[in-house]
Amino acid sequence: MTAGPVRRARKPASAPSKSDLDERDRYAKLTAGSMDIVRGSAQAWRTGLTAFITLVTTGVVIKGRDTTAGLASGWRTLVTVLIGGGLVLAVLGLWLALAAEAGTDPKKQTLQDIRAIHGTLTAYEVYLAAKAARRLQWGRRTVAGAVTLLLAGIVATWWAPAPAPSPPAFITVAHGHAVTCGAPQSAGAGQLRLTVHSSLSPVSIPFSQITSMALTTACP
Amino acid sequence: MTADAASPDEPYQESTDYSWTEKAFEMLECNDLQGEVVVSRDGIVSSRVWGPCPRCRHALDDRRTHTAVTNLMGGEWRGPGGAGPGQPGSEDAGLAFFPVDVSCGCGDGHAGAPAGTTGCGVSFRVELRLQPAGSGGQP
Repeated sequence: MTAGPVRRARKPASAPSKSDLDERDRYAKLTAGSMDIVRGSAQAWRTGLTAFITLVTTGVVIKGRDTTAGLASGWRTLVTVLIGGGLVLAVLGLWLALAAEAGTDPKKQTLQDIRAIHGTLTAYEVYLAAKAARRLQWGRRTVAGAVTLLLAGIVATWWAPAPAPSPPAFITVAHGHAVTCGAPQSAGAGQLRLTVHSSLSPVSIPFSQITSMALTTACP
Repeated sequence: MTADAASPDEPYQESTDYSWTEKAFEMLECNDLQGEVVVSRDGIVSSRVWGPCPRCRHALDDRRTHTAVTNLMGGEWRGPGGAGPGQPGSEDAGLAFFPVDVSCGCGDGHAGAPAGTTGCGVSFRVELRLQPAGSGGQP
């Protein structure tokens, strides 16, 4: 058994009404205006997305180093990844929005080339508009991701714990009637040796003269 | 006015009588009138109907694109006659047919035609099988 010939057309059930024809003509204008619609929208979106990014990154730049300098290493890495990733996504998203508005990849084509690939010039314009609309959609998604990362980076700085205090690195020694503060160098042979800020060579203090010692984070 | 009254060099008269749709279908069946609806790889539907006008017999060549980018949050949409993006207008035994409304735009002068109007005034509908771009003659 073989299939019959493929029908190219079938008989319509009805004729077009006047309103069908009016709608067809209105839709033809909509089709021809697809590119303008997309580019106009892309322009508005790009402006809006730029304002978003400017607002968020301004906050990051103002707080910036002061905020992260006091963070523990792990949190600083997290904030760097979040804000750095957010900035990269922001640039990418704005690039996509700009590409949707201004177009990319200009090339020479003849009407015959366009007809061979797309059928009609309007179909080609719709193809370009659909491509720009897809770019714009990805641009919006990317900038949304960027804003999320940037905000997450800022929130991370709020919640990051303060860095652990530095361990005491100096010692205050009372000996005789004097008090010496410095970084311990060594102890032995009945003496404690300290590096003192005001002296180029280590100061040696006999243990027999020491009446008290205390650790401190800084010398006066 | 109906298809029975058709003759060349008719004066201009707007008509969407079903007999013109029937006559256009008969002309398609005997290859007097040609028509194609092509869907591109990107899902853009375009059509071409060409040959003699069912009423005035002057040559017409109607090219249309049936896809537009209308809703930027949702992508592209099919025009009147289409069910939506990537969906054919209707199905018949597994084959998708797409309705195309054609108005005579023969470019010849017809007595009584409004200023700036081309064609004899007749409009008709054809329903053509959707075919992917490159599968046959391209409109």
